[in-house]
Amino acid sequence: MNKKTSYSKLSFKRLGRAVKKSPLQFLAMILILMLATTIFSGFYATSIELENRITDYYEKSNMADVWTTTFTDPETFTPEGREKDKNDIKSAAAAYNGVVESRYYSQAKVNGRNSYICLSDQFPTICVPYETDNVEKTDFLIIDKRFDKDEGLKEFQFQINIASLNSFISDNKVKEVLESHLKPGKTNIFANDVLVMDAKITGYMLHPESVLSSDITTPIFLMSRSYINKLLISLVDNTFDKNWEPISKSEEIAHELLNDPQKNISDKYWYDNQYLTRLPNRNDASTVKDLIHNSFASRPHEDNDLLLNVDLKNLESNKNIAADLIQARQMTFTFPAIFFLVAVLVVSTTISQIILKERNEIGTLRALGASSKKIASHYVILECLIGLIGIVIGAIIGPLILPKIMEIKYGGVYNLPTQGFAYPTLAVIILTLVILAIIALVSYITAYKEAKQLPVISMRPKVVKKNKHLLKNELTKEKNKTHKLCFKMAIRNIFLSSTRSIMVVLGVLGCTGLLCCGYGVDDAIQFGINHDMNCYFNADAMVYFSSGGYETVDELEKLVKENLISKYEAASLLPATCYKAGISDSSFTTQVYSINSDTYKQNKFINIGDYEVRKNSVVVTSKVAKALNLGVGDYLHFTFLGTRYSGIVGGILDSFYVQGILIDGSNWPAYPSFLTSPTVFVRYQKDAKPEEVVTRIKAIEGVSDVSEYKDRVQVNQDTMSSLSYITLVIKLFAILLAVIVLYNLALLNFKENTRNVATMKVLGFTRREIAESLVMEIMILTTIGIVFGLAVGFPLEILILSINKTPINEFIFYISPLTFVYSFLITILVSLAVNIYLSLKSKKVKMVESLKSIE
Amino acid sequence: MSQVNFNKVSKIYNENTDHEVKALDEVSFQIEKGECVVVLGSSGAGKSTLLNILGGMDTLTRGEFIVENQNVAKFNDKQLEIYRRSNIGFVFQFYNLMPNLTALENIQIAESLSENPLDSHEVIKSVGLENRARNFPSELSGGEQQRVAIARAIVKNPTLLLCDEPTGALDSKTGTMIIKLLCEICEKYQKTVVIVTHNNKIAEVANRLIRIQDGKIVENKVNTHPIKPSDIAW
Repeated sequence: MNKKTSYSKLSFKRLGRAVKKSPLQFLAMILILMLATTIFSGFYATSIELENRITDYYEKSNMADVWTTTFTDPETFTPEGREKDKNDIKSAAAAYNGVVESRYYSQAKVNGRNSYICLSDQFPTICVPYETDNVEKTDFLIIDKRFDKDEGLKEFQFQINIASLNSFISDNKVKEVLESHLKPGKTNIFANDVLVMDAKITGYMLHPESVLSSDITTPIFLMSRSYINKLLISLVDNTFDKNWEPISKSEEIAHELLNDPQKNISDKYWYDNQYLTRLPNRNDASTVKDLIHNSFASRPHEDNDLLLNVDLKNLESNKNIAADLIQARQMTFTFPAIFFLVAVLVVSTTISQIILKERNEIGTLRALGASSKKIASHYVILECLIGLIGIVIGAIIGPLILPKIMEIKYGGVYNLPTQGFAYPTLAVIILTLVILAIIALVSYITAYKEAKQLPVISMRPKVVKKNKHLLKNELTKEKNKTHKLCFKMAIRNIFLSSTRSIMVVLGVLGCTGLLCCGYGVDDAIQFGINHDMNCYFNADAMVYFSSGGYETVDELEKLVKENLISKYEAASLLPATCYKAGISDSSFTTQVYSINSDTYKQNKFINIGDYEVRKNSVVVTSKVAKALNLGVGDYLHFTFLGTRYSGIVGGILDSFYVQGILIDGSNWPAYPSFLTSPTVFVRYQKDAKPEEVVTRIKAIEGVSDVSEYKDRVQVNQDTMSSLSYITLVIKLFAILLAVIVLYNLALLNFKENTRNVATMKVLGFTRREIAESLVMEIMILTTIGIVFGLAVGFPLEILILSINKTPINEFIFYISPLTFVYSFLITILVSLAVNIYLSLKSKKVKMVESLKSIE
Repeated sequence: MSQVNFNKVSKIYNENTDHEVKALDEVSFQIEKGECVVVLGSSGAGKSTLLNILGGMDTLTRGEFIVENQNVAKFNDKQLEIYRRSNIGFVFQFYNLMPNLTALENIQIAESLSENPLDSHEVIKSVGLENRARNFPSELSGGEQQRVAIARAIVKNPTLLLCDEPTGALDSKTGTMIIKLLCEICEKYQKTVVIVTHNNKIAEVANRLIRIQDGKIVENKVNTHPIKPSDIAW
């Protein structure tokens, strides 16, 4: 006797053949789930990778827990005072087994570009540079890799501030003495506020405190004291004649200075002013910071030289990284949530429809004696298998592709150490189980519900229930046109298959919303760039002068006389650390724009509305205000070179990428003259040729660069290109999703109507009429979905921009009307194309076969 | 000339293969205008294939098929579409009504396609369903659904009314009613009707009987004394 074939085996064989018969329907389900899983697992892997890199970055660099910075004015603070600073900080750290390392930290310029210098006696053991290339650890000058991308810059020129030294020299009339002992052809290196030195780079690094890319923030370079002393001695030897006998007090000072520059300049003016504390337990940072603060606060007022005292949690770069990590995690749950919502809805609908189509078979199986549970369980297994295929493919593709795309964003913003492949195993397992549970539940409920029916009911066609309102039909003598009846059929189908209709609407809503959001993000970026260009750089060109350029700015006047330019105005851009008055533990490094309060309103190079920068009033941008929790009327401190300036916040400006403080520097007598290395706004004459104007400006001595309006727009667009990449990914995925969702739902619709199509063909409907009747229903639903999708597009954009803030900008929420048009057109065209494609299949519907048997 | 002229028509599936099946083998016959023709045959004899070719739903492999001086055998898809639209009224065994249209609307949709249709309200009255006009197919009995299908076929005012086992899914009483209705409609609207059936009894009401077996016509005779539908002994 032959072995009995099991019911399950035959059942799966039957279902397998059903899959073979309608492969596209199942393929669509696989693709939808694959897309959603790709996005989820990809973004999740990105966040894990970022988190690993951040952890690695802290470990490799032995990142400090507390930064304590003191004032650097040598006139006020004595070496004894500095020793006391060090001891107090060490005592506070020792209470929690911490170690302290000190250094000199100040602003400097490299080849005309703002930067920070860190001078230390030894190679640092806290905030250690990473990804260094066999650097010399005794006499070193190590610069940020991003500072010199090609690492081809072996020699560079840097400027270090000697303003306080210079005033000391001036007061003692030493400068005159120095001038008289110059070697032939040499100029007095101590004549200006800055000392310019040529140095040789000994190595490259990524520095933990310069983790924000140097493209958007001020980079750091490290130098050993021995190295700068050698440079200084060499510079003095080359410039001055030291072989003379001092006969006056001034000459004695000058002679001493020249013969021992290390003692008289390096040790005296570039002393340690910053202390890095590293604790065994990072959670103690806040307590140690408070201890340090209290030890300074307990001193007499004149001895309190505490400038800043910040722990890691409040360090600006760390705040940005922490925020980005949160954003990366949130990104995992926002976009994928929308994709999954659409995917689950569509897959559930498809499953329901597939099972409903099988109701006759289910009834037959029941009539043969199969149990409802057994019938339902086979559908569950089949649907889960299909779902699993989609999830597995997505879970492989996502972590392989998306982190690489997102690296374009993070790589552009951070100098983090690179990391290997990260895989969100647990998240993917949980996701798989959740999605499979949903699929299983939907399949089971639908199949079980159908199998619980009496076999005779299942084997009958589904009864169309009458609805008083929707199915109302007036008997009229008027001859109904074909399209009118088709429209009627479409409307009735929509309401009769209400679940499917809602799914179509939600699917289209999701796709349109995502498209709208994707384009909206681009709009917000472009709007922000245009806004800032018009508000802060309303000039045809920006002319950058090198140090000492104030002497040649007036050369531009010649171009005015030659009718090449119509207006120009000088301003200065300097980096400063600012903090809210009374709160020294939260600082923000930003640019200070010093403008002339008398002329900027006439020239309109900067448009800040009715706000004023007169007297001690400062105007801040929204990001600065948010970072420091500033409101109009609050006091703001900002520090340059150890000197603190204060002003009242007179206004808060909307801004996208321009972040900083606007002041009129002349209101603070001690503020460095902005003409030291000015930036000049230039407006061309209407009929002037831009190329000619640029050439002429570049020919002016002291001009280091000219940046035209279009160049600046391009630079800003390039800076934001990372986000544009993300929006491009979202848009592409949204279109893909739209294609798959609409194809799947249109296919369902088509399959449901195959018999009707055959009947229509027999009745003599033309292919166009059949297509119209098929397209009508989906197009009506698509239109409804699009309307809702457009409505949620802008809120979705705000949500995405809010969680995707970057350290360099503050989004101004905006959406262009064209975005709505694009989103509408793309979705409607995708829908139309998919429907027309499927309608063409009506040609292949065989009338005889389709009408042969009862459904 | 006859209204319908079938001349050596063959329909061969999988020709020149091991699985060749001759559904129709050089079938020839003529149908005169206004005739009620019954095509009789057992299951698989080829009668439905013949009807499908007559209705422009299927193509033939060889032979000539002329309807009112037009060789339908040479029609392309578009011409067949127009042929079905203007010349044919089709009644199926399983009705094939549009489930989302009411009885009247099902008739009206066919009415809207025809260039010279009959009045849908009058037609629905003639099939006795004026009171069920607003009901959906699922709310009608099998007999009522078939009556709607007949009305839908006739409203187009076709040249040929083709019926594929119109009583196949109905009980004898309802079946009699449907045949009676078909005969009345045929008479009232002066239509040529072709009924395909395996039921010998129905053949007695026809003017012409075509018996088909294994794809060949084995009998083609004129019934000079057709009986009334009500006299059919089921």
